[in-house]
This record gives sequence, structure tokens and C-alpha cells, in this order.
Amino acid sequence: MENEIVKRIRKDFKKTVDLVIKPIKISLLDTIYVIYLESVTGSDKVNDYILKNVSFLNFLKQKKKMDLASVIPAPNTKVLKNADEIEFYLTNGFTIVIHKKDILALETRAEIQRGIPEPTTEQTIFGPKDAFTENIQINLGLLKRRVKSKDLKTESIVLGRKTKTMIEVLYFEDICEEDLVQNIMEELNKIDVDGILDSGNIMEYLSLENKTHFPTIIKTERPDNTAKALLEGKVVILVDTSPFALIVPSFFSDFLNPISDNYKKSNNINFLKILRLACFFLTILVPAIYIALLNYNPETIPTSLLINFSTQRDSVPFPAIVEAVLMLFIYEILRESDVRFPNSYGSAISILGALILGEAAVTAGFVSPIMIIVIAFTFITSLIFTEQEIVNAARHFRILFLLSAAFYGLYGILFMFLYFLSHITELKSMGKPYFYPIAPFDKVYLFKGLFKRKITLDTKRSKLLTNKNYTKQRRNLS
Amino acid sequence: MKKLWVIIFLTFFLTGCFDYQELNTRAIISGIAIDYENEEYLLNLEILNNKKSEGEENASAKTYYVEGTGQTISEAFSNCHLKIAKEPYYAHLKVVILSESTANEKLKEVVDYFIREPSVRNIFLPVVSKNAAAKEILENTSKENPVVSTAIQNLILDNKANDTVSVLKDFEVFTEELINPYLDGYINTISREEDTLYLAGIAVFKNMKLATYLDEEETSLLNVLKGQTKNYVLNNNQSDNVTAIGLYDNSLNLSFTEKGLVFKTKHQASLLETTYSLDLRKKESYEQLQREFEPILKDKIAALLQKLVAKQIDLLEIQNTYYKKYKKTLDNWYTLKADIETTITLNKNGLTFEVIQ
Repeated sequence: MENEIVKRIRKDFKKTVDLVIKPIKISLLDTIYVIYLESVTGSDKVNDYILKNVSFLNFLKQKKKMDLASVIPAPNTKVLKNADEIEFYLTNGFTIVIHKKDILALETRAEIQRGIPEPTTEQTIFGPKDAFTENIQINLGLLKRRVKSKDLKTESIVLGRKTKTMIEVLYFEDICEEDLVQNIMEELNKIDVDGILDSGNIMEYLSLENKTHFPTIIKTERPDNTAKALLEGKVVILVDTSPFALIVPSFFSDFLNPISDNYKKSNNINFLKILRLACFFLTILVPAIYIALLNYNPETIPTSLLINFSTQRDSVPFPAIVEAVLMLFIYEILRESDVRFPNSYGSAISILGALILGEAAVTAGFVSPIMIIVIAFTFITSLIFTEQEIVNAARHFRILFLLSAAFYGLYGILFMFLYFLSHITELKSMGKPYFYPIAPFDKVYLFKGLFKRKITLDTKRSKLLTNKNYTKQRRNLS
Repeated sequence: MKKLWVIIFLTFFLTGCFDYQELNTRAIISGIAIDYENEEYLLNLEILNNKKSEGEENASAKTYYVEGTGQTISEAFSNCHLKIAKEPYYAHLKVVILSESTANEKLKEVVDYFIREPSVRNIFLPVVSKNAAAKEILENTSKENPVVSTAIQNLILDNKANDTVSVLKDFEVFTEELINPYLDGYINTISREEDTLYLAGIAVFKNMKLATYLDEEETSLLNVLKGQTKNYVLNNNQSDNVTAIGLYDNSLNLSFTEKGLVFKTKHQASLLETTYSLDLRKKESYEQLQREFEPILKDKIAALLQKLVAKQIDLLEIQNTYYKKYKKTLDNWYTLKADIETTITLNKNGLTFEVIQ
């Protein structure tokens, strides 16, 4: 007569082809059931940890009540009190050993993972070369290799009714604000969905406080980036099956500059930081300013340049605004196709883009060469940012600025800029002001985000992120 | 979203796209020549050509001209506009050339028109054509200078930086001088010699009429007295011992005494060239040169002053200075006796070293 629990598993997992139920008779009336999902379990581990030991039990023919956990050695063994827990462990690569009413879950997870890769979206010349992978345990390991402190605490939660995705919320107990962690856990607990497939899903849930195109949470694949965030008093969220960690809260200035800035001299980096900030505004404003100056205020353009513009525009049949929108649209298509296409087709796209748009369109009198320059400049300035979401937000505002410039000239740009400022200053990232450290102004974080100070002067943590542990560095003055 | 609507609402009512104009539909006018003959204005507009030339890839900044006549200046402009297929665009206007007759008879009307005309920015350079019609000057194109208005503008700007025969004065400043009762306005004159344009001093106005011309040297000296030049060459005018000094730092102090006016001028100078057999290592040599050049400069200033007094032209701002000092007007300034004291300090030894014994 088959065990009741095994019957239930058989019923729950019917039509599951990879379910293996192996009954092992240890006496005439006594049977141990070894159950696992073949696809997520390492068969050699099942063999080494369980089957060999269970066979040994069979040989001794013990009649006393057995303590399964002590006779089956495995690195991670859980005694389950409730049969409802079986599903979670079974799907997570554990092998369930059932003897009468005792249920034991032993970790025999298969190595369904790749090695530690190099960063692909946040590449740097200098700095660590490891990146997160899809395995949360490895990701935790990568982080803990950098941060060896008992104060690094983890809150775990499993989300997704079907995917049962493990979410780990990491923070420094002695630095991070408790309210922040509490808020994040509250938000995570609200999530009731059938599947969490990537940290991007969690990011969306945590960004619900704003209606904006701007990203308010950083997604990073670099463990050093997350370690730095933890040290500043931020919270890091790791999601199983996602090679991207989330950093909460994140501010506008954090999206502009890459982590590798920390490994270079402040004097040199500040120039690049100013350049990036300028590029953000240029990528938004250049087409709008061009349209406004050309159509409303040509007196501001030097005469010889104006004549060049005028001559080039002479053969173009469309108004400048139509030309600009058309070109932006075509370049967006080009960018999207470049991202989506396999690498081997990439060169074809480049040739098409460069030849058709750069040369033939001008020769055909479809667009003016100056418009090609304006649009190319707009896109080159947007390529500086690694975070795609900030590029997308810039695109949103670029269109708004362009339309306001087309209708109202420089005056429209001014008004749209006021809207931009009012919009960005009202945004929040987990309750913290998004335009920080500019508004509200904070000198300490200004030199962590927008600019960089000499490393010996970086002594404090920002008061917005921590309320108990401000000192980051002490200098031995002797 | 509410904010966005407020912004759209505000911008819609505060401004609009009424002045939207595509660049290639504008006729960019860079120079205007105004002649007045037979009680009729003859207007000539220099328009920058924005058509791509055949077989030429790059835009060529060549020009074409449109003429119009009229009893009034407005009518002449309207007649010109009838001949332009595009929207006339005056924001890039660089030069307005007035003929001698226009400057003499119709300056008030021309100035009045440009002040009232909103499409013209008052930063163009007004000039008077000397010994040639304004139209001739404006149409005097050459291979080197295809755009005459730009050439004249560059001539004035470059000269201001180097030889200072010109005065850098836009229409705004010129108008302020004309309407100020204690100032007399003056602008550059331009002349032509064998298809070459050159600056020919300044034209001075009094009571909205052309009063007189100052030639190149007089203009240069005026700039010295106004402290607006750093490069004035003074010669001793002797054929046997030629010496030239350069005045580079000049100041004029005007004071009023019971006897009349006292002009005290101070000049820093450097020795440019000499054929004297002077020992330039000695301070006395320079003092000797100073003593020689001070009367020469004084005579030149006196001659200029005499010319200005004869025409009652107050280019040295005598009335203005008096008013600033005493808060009273000085109407008969030209009747006062004028004393001139000039001090030249030759202080550049240059590369004259002690000989190593």
C-alpha cells in the first residue's frame, strides 16, 4: 500500500514527465520513497547523498525508528513538517525522502547555470570584471566576497505563485534606515502575482509611486556597484534567475555616471561627469533648439552659417519640424533594429543606416545635411548612458521639447524646461527625493553622485540615506 | 498632467506660432544703400543668395541686388519688397550706406524709419559714402569680397583693432548721439578707388545734417584724444632726420578756467624708428625726443580743434563734460579760448642694451 503523502505528490504532479518516484524497500513492510524532479536535480548528487545511504539502511535492516536526517548526510537538509511545503522544495531542486510520515528535503540542485560572466552592459576598462549571474546563491556569494561583515543582513521573501522566485533584500543593519527596509518589504509583500521572471518585474512594482518615464531604481549587473550602494546606506534587492540586482533608492545623478568613476582620479573624472550632465541636456534639447532658432530666432545664428543652413534647406520639401520628427523616428527604428538583430547582421544595419540615411537621403533632397548632423549629435550624446531607461526618458522629453519649440520657439523651450524641472523634482525613489542632491541640496551626496571629491575628503555618508552612522572614513592626522 | 495643461494653456495665450517662418523662405538682407536724387529715394538691397549654385556642392555666400524708388523711404522699401520672391528678413542687416545727399537732406527721415521699423535690429553699422553714390559702393563686389556689406563691416572692425581710422558705432549709439542736444553724431565714411573700398575718415552731423568730414588723420587724432586708439604714429616731418613714435596710451583731461578751456593730454609713447645719431641708452636722448614731439602733437590737436570750433561741432564732448561738472549748460563753448598742454612720455627703450665692455 503506497504512502499517503506519495499518493498526494503523484496526484499533484500528474503529467509531470520529469518526476521520479523511487520506492526503496528497506524491509518487508517498510519502504522509503525518494522523489525528485529529474530536470532540476543533479542525478549524481541524488546517487551520492541519498541512494547509496538508503541502500546501506536496507542492508542493516534496522527495525528501530530511524532518524533520517542523521543517517543521510547532505549539505543542506530540511525536515518538513507540512506536506504543503513539498512542492516548493521539489521544484527548487531538492530531493524529497519520505519514510512513513517523516519528510526530508535534501538539496541536490543541478548546476543549471553559467560561470561568472564579465559585465556586458556596464563595461569598464578598469575595475572588477565579474558580473552577476542567474543564480541567486552565486550572486550572494559575489557580494559577500566584497562585504565581509556580520552587519550585512538579508530579508528573504518568495514571490510568484507559480515561479516561486526567491527575493533577497540586503542592507547594512548599522547604516541603513530601518524605515526604508520596512517600506520595501511592505511593498514586496503586496505583490501577489503568478510569476516573477526578472528583477525588472520587481523594479516596476517598486516604482509605482511615480508616473514618470524616468527610472527610479538602478538595475546593475556589477557586484562592486551593489557593494558601494550598501556602504552608502542603500538597499540591494537580488532576485533569483535574474543577473541584475536592484539598488533602492536611486537618484537622477546615479543614472548618469558609471561605477568605474570611483576607480579613477577625481580631477579627471569631474570633467567627464560635467560632460555627461551636459550630454543629458544636449540629447534632450539639441533638436528643439535647432528648430526654435531656425524658425523663430534666426537672428541669433551667424550670417555665414545661416546662409549655409538656408542653402541646404532650400531643396527640402518639408518644414524643418516634419524633417526633424521624421529623422528622429527613423533613427529610433535604426537603434531598435540594431539592438534586436543578431550581431552578425549588425554590420548590415550600420551600412544601411550610414548610407541610406547619411548620404542617399540628403542627395535625394529628403532631408538637409544639417538635420543629419543635429540628429546624429542627439543620438551620440544619448549613447553615453549605460542605463537604457534614462535614454528612453530623454527621448520622451526630447519629443516634448521639440513640439513645444515647433509651436512656441525658444519661449516654448523655456516653458517646457520649467515643466521638466517641476516634474523631476516631484519624483520619489522609495520616498526619497529623486532630484537629490540638487533639490534638496546636499553637499555630501553632490560629491558622490554628480561630482567626485578627492578620496580622502569622502569621509561622510549622506544624511538622507542614514540616520545613525555618518562617518565613512577617519583620517589619521598624525 | 494638470501642470502640462497649464503650461500649454499659458503658452497658447501668451505667445504663438504666428512668426513661424521656414529659413529657406526668407530673403536675408545684409546691406542697404540709400541714395536721394531728384527728390526721390533710390533704395538698393543686397540680398544673400541661398540658392545652391550649379555644380557647386557647398553653399556660396553670393548676393543679388534689388532696387526700388519712392517719394518716401517707406514707399521705396515697399517697391523693393515687390521684387523679392521671399519674405524680406532684416535681422542680419550689417550695413546701411547713406549717400552724401541722403546724409545731408534726409537723415532725419531715414533715422526715423529705422527706429520705427520693428523688423530691423539697431545693431547695423551706418556709413556715409564719400565721393561715390551709395549704390555704387554696395554693388562694388569683387572675387575677394563677394558680400560688400560683410566686407565693409570687416573693414571697420579690423581697422578699429589696428589703425583706428574708423569708429565702431552701431545705429543705436549713433541715434542716441543725434537726439542728445549736447552731443554731435559721427559715423564712418567709405570711399572707392579703382574698385577698392577704403575707410575715408568720419562724417560729422549737426542738427540732423551732414556738417563736415574729418579725413583719416584727423579721425585718428580724434580717436587719440578720446583714448580709443592704441596705435597712433607721429612723425617729425623732417626729411633729413626721420623719427617716428607710436602713441599707445592716451588720455585727455578737460578743465574749465576763467580764461577758457584747458586741454591737458597725456601720452605714453614708444620709439618706432629714427635716423638721428642719438645714444638711445641714455635717458636724455628720450627727453630730447619728447621735447621735439610735444609741439608737433600740440599743433595737430590745435588744428583739429580749430576745425571743430569753426563748424561748432562738439566731438570732444565739451558741453557734456561741463554739464557733468557744474550741472549747468555751456552754450557758447566755441567762443572760449582753448589752451592745449601735451605731455609725451617716451618709455620704451626696446632692445637697447648696455654694450659689454
